[in-house]
Amino acid sequence: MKWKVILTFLVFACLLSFFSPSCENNNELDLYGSQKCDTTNITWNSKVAAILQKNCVYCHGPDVSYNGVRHDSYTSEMVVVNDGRLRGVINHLDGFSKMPKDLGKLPECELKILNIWLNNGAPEN
Amino acid sequence: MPMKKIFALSLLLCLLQIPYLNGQDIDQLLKELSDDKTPNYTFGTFKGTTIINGQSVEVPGNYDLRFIISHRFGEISQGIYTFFGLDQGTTRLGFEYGFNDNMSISIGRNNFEKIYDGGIKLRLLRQQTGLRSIPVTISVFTSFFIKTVKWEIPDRENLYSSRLSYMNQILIARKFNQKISIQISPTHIHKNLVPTPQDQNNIFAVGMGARYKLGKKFSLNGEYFYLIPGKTADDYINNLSLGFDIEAAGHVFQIHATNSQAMFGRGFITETAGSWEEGNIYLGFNIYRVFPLNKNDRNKQ
Repeated sequence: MKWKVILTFLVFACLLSFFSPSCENNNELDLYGSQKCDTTNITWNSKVAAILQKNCVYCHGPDVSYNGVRHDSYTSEMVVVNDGRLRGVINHLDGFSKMPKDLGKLPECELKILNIWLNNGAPEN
Repeated sequence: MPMKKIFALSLLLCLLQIPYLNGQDIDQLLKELSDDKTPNYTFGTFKGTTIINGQSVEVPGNYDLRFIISHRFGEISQGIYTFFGLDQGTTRLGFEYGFNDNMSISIGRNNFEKIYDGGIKLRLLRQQTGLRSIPVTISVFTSFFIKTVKWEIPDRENLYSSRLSYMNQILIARKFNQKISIQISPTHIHKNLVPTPQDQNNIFAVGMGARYKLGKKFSLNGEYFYLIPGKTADDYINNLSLGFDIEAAGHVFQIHATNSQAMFGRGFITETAGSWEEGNIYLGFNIYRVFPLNKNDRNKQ
C-alpha cells in the first residue's frame, strides 16, 4: 500500500510543479501589439499562397485532400475560387462548411486579404 | 456465516426453552443478525469513463489499463460524396490507468491541432447505502492540453506557456435506479493565450449528462455543455451529443452524433462551431479495451 501512496503523491507533485508556473493570462494583442494589415499588392504569389499554406494545406494539400480540394497550387485553387466555394467557406456563408474546420474564422487581417484578392479577380502575380 | 449463526442461536434458544419468547422477538433477532454493516456501493452509474465527449464520474478499476480509440468523422451534411463524412475525421488515442478504485490518470494524443492531453481523476464520494447513505457519486477531474502544432508566426518570440490550456471539473452523478443515471459537471477552462483582451482566459461552463439503460448491454446517452454567458458563449455554440453505449466482453463501444470534431475538453466545450440546426453533425465512436493488470482480475478472465 505504501508505495502506491508515494507514487500518487509523486505523480501529483510532478504535474503541479511542471504546469503551475505556466499558468498565464496573456492575449496576443498585449503581448505582440496590433499587427498592421498590409493590403497592398495582394496576389497568389505575394500573400495568398502563404495564408492558405498556413491554415488550409494540412487538410487540403498533397498529403490529405478532403473533398478533393487542394490549396497548394494556383491551378487547384482556381477550382474553388471559380465555383464560389472559397468565398463561402472562409466567410462562413449559409450553405457552406465553415473553414478552417472547428477553428472559427481566419484572423481578421488574413480574411481581409483573401476577400480583397477574390474581389480583384484572384490574380496569380 | 449468518445462517450458521442463526442456526446456532435458534438451537440455543430451543435448548434453554425460554417460555416467553414469541414470534416477534425471533423476527427482531433475525433482523439484527441480517442487518448489513458493510457499505453497499452503487456500480455502473455510467458504462464508460466518458459519457460521450465529457468525463463521467467513473474511474477505471484497480490496476486496470484502458486503451481508448476515439474518432469523429466529417460532417453528415456533406452527403453521399464523402459518404456522410466517413471519408474524413479526427482521431484521439489514449490510455487510462487506475491506481486504485478511486484514482486514475489518463494521457492522450489528438490529431486535431496535434494536442497532447493528460488528466487525473479522483473519486471523492461513492453513492452507497448500508453502512452510510450517500445519494451521489462525486469525482474531480483536472487536465491539461499541450498544443504542438507549429507556431503560426515563427519569427516572433513565442512562449511555451502559450501552448498550454487547462480544465478542471467537479463531476456529480446519481444513479436513480437500474435504468437512469444523471450527471452535472461544473467546468472551468483556462487558456494561457487568447487573441485579444476581449477574449476570455477563464471560461466557465456547466455540463449535463444522462444515461438511460435500454437493455442489459445497451444504453442511450446524452450530453450537453452550457457555456456561461460571455465572449466565448457569444462566439461559439454549446456542445450537444447523443449516442449509444454497447458493452461487449472486455470492450465498451460508444457510438454517437455530436456537433464538435474535437475530443478534448477545451475543444468541444469552448470551441464548438458546428450547429445541429445547420446540419454540422459529426458521427463518431469511442472504443474502450480493458487490460486488467491485477493478477487476480486477469485470472478471472
